[in-house]
Amino acid sequence: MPPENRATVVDILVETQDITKRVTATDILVETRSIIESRATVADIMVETQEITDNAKHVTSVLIYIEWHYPQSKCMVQMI
Amino acid sequence: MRKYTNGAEFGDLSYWTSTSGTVTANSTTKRSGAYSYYFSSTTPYASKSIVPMSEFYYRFVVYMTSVAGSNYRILTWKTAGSTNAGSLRVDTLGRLNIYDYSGLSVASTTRSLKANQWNLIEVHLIMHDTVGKVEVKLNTILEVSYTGPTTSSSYPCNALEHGRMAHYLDDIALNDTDGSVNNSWCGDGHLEILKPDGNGDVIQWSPNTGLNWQAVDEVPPDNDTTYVMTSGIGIQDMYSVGAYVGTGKIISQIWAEAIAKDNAATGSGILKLGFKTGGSVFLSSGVFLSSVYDSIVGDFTLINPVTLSGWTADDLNNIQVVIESD
Repeated sequence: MPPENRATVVDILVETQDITKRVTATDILVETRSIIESRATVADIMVETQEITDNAKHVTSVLIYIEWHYPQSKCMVQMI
Repeated sequence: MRKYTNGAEFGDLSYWTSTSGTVTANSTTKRSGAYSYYFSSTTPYASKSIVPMSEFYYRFVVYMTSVAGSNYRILTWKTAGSTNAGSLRVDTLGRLNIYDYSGLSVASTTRSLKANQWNLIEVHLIMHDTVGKVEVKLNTILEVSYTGPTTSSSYPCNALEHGRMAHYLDDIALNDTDGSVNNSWCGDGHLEILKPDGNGDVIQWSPNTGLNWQAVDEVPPDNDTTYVMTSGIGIQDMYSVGAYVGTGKIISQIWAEAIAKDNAATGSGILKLGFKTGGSVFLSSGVFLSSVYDSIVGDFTLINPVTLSGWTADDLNNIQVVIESD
């Protein structure tokens, strides 16, 4: 590493202090509560599913239509 | 340009905007395909709203066991507010009479309809309060041409009504005067369909039961009993279709048609319809879906866009019908 990019003693002290800043039990409780409170309930999932279904495009039948005609220039005479 | 075509081949009444009385899709007496529409007496009728037009050519084919009418109104053209602007009526001799907006007979065919056979009727209509026109062909022969007022004011026609006489009705078509083809008389035409018979190259929609193609092959449609669905955009399904018998037939055009809906209250769902042929997919513009099942019609396609030639039986035997959400 070039000398000008070397970490200083101050850099090392700051970094060490960040590492040693431990997570407290309160932090964990708050975080856990937050996770629990933000979880989707079964009702949420049912509502969401219903919305997906209700917004769906439905096709119940599809087909190819064909229009045709008889070949032209044919004269038919029926003897009676 | 072809605007409407219908041969009752969905086996239901989804083509009509409204019906009154006993109007049914009938599978016993039909001119082509598997169904016709049946009006049981002089009471029932069916109305089709159309985009407002001042000039168009119209075709329909009727079958009656008795052609003697008492000026029964088998075709009525209407303007805004469901106002009768004129009609084609069948007299006691089975002739077609043109009635103007005031309810007067102004012209008649010389020949009569024939009982117990299909009668091809074509109408050319120009809506105008002074120089309107009604021309009528019976079995491809021009029978009568009337020039005069065809509406009480220069209102366009916005609905066509059939019925008011016991008869079967089949092979309906309407051309406006735009474009370089299908801009005049519709001519003779027979209508039939090909239904899905297998999953195609792409299957992305979700069936509510069974295989995808099995959910969309019903005629008449079974609505929410079997269907495919998606909430996504750009989602495709393709289905192979049944065999086409082309002996003695010249194919005029093909198109895809579906019965579909969007469950969203906003009705923002869009569907594209088309087909895959020669390895390429051709889709219509997106059509907004109603919140109730309704017919969606794809683009009328006169020639195979890959070969640039008329459609062949071989083309149709290898075609896949395509739906895409948008």
